[in-house]
Amino acid sequence: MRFVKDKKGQVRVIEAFFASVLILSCLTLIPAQPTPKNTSSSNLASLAENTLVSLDSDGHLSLLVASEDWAALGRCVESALPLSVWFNLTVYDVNSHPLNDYPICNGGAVSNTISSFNYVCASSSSNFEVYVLQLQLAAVD
Amino acid sequence: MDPDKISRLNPQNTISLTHIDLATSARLTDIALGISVSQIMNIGIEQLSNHTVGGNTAFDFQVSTFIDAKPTSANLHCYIIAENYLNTVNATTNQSGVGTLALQVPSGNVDDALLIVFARAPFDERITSFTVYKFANSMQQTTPSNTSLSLSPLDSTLFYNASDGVSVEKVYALTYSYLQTPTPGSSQCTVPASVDHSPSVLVACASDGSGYFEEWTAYPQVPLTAGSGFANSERNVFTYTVTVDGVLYKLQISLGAINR
Repeated sequence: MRFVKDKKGQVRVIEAFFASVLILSCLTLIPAQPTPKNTSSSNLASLAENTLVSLDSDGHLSLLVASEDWAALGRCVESALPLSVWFNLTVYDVNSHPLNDYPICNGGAVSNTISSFNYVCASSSSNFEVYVLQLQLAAVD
Repeated sequence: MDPDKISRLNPQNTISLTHIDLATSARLTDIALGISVSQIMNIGIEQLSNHTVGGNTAFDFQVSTFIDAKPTSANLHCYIIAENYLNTVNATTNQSGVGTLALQVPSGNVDDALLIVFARAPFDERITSFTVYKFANSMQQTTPSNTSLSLSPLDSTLFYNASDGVSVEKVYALTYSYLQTPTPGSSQCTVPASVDHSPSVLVACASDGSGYFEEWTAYPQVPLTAGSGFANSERNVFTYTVTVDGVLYKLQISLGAINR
């Protein structure tokens, strides 16, 4: 009986109920702002694979490696990647010795999550030299 | 990728795939699909000045080249085409992606002149792009705007709609390194095979009762956007680097749920 007679408390409960209904209505009626979702950042290994396979479609990468033109190799990879993606490319010979004498990259890693892809390519020259290109990618979180 | 399949995705092609054809071919019934193909390197042209020199008008342009908004150096090969006039100019852009271009056009031909700029990355010739500058309205065009000839390349043939007193007098097939002038027929013209790692720009020079005009298109017809537009809706974007006729392009495939 004491609760039924406490009209002030009931009004507060009704107020709270209507306030929550109002807030929920607003959240339901106002549409979320759609934003394009770029999944390339969440699928970096696939991006790395596509980049190396596409760039080496006519043996271009192996030519750059054979001529040890690391600057051109870096710019070539950079041109195929989005600006927001960090990369680090290391070229190994068949004995897993790194060939590039300085880092082929575009700065420091932008994320702790780094994806890596290894690509084996063969030189089109007469000695058919085999190289392993390791491309590491990271995207802004 | 096949240049003809790419060209048929472009809505400007006369036998382009419709949105429904695209969804049916992709076998996607409950997913919205969007495809866009663009050049790896972008080119910007800005006219700095012009002045008259005898019977010619001299123009100075600033050309900028960039890949994904990052300035990059490039070698430029430019063609100037007007009525009974053809000239070429070579230039470069520096490490900041900026270069200047000085050229002259006969003053009487300025209104119908086109400047076609090809840019090639020095580190990879497959990264070759083009853009077109129309002197008549001092505007750069990445996609052709004029469609009275309905230029439509397919199967190494340029089809056009030359009717109502319009006759195509000359066709230029331009690439970064080569210029060819195939003989135009009444409604089509064979596009010569190119050994160049470059997109082709096809310029048709025609005349109607009132005068001379030029229209252009690219082969393959890139850049293009096809399929769903995704306005105000969420989408997942997958970006790939692809090769079309020895030239690298950026392919973007967008997928999204259909609102019911």
